[in-house]
Amino acid sequence: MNILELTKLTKKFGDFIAVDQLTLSIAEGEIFGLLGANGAGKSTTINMVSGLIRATSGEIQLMGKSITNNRHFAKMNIGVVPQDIAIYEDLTAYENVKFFAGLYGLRGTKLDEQVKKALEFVGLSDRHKSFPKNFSGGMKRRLNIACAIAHQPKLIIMDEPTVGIDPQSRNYILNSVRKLNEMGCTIIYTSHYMEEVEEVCSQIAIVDHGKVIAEGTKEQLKSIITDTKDVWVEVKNIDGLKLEPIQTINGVLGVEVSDNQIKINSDMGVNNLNAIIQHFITNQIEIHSIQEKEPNLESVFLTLTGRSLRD
Amino acid sequence: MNIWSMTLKEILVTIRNKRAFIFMLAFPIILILILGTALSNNFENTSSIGKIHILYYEEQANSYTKPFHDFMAAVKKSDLSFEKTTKDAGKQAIAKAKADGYIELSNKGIDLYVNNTSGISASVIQGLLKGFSDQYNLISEVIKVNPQQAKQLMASSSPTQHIKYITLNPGKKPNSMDYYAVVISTMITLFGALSTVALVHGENIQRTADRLLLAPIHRYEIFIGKMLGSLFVNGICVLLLVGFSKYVLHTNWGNHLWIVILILLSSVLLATSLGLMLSYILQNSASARTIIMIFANTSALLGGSWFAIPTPGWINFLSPLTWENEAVLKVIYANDFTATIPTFTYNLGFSVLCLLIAIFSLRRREGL
Repeated sequence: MNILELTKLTKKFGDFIAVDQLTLSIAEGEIFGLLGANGAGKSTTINMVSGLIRATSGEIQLMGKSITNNRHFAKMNIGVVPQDIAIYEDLTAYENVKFFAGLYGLRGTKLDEQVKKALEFVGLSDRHKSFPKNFSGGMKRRLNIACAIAHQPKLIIMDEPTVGIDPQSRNYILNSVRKLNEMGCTIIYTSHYMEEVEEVCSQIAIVDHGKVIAEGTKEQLKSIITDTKDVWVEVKNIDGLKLEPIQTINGVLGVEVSDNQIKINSDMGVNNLNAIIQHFITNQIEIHSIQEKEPNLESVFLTLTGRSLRD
Repeated sequence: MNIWSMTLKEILVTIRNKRAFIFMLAFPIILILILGTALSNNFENTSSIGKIHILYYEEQANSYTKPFHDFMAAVKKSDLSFEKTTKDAGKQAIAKAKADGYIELSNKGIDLYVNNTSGISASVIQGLLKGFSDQYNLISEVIKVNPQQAKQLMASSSPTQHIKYITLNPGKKPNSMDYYAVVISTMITLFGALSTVALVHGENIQRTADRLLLAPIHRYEIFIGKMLGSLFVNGICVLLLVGFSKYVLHTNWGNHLWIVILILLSSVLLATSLGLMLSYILQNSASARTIIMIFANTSALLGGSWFAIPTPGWINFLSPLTWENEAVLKVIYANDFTATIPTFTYNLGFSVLCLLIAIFSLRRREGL
């Protein structure tokens, strides 16, 4: 069953089309990665789903109900972890979570229980009386998450939740994402860190110019560009190296040189690694290292959009 | 319930903001102490005039002789000294300001000579002599009608007993500390608009505005919650200030404190509404704060918060503080409530206008 369905979703700001007839389905129980460069329409889509802005046209259905006609229902079932840390510095960790959870109708003992659960989940139970101004960046990020999950939403949208934090806190957050998913939450995850998306997401959509240009599991996405591979050769001294003979090796499609590194793009179906190594030995060029790299999401993204994710 | 959560949150956030709290409490107390002490001379109601020296000359025994001697005996107790002199010496003494007054008694009447430089002393002598002449004229009139009764009057022991002296009571007046306790309290209510702006724009600065909008809470609940929170905190600050000045500085807040407090709370409502209006029509927090600072300082200047304005003109009444200060001082020092209703009307009218503009602006925007 799909928890979220976007049908021909469009958002215009004047003449500028930020989201262009975007259609997407997210199944219940997924960790869904949404990839897109800045200005691709990713945040606008999230803002429309969470109800912050209204769609110009199209339909958003959450658990089979249109969110246009069921705003309260949608708000009750969605939790958003915003990219910017959105907490009150003058309220304690407990008071922050309690205030936001209280807005979702939780009261009394139930509210207290849920707040404690959320703080425990993000590992801030022992700091519940502390003020966020005394927290590290990672702790603030975790409190940011606690404020979004205390009301137990079915769908959690995490917008760049690991920006600017230390590796330890990043691991903690990524583990939290998996745990939330195991507890039955569906998660939409956006990040600039491709390796994070590869690590936690079960389904990924690449958005560019307001449209979904590719969608599937990471394996399915990589298969889009499995017809080529990259061989990276690092040499001690590049002087005397001639590129033209390399390009004549069977299966080689292109050669690029950067400092003492040579990137050889080659046909995936041709086993030409021995011929490449032989060429360097024949020309008495000492090899430091040699690597054959499989395509990753970064290269998929680059191939599909023509630009890096951080552009 | 969401309104209550919002209100409670605003109260907690504001009272934990030490800078704002110091500004709303410590700053006015210091101002009252400084201005109340430094400008105390401007509020002095009494002045000492010292001993009054009067010369007199009696041409010969005349009809005034006995009453005048009785009069001298009676007023000598009040630091007034009389010395008999000659006609010329008396006039010269006045010309050279060697005496405060010179009185000439003859059958034609009483002549008083004073030196213009004698000031209050001369006025006191004139006032006393006027009292004496009034009494003498009264007896003369009685003689015409009932001579027997006049004898009884003249034989009476005290010369002042048969004249009823009516003095115009200028009423109680505040001393400098009393005055500044009132005007600084009203002034500080206006500055409360700054904390209201901080509450609204603080949501954008702390990035919590979107998180609020994501929750199932209506924008009007947020608006009302913020307004109530701000009213509560600013109201408490003013009450604490009044309490401190009354019980620690022992300033006079009169016998109708609850009316004074209502006037102050109406001013808090005005300031909160102004803060909300500026927060919603201006996206920029700095612009809103600048406008409030200009408004509050100009109002303070026109409203007599820094220096008392004895007779305010129409321009002074453009300031809400002129209305409030006049209303509060009248209640405290004259038990006069005539300025109370107009002040309430002014403050409530201004507040309603600001709130309507704020609501109109809120309806037009998509965010908070």
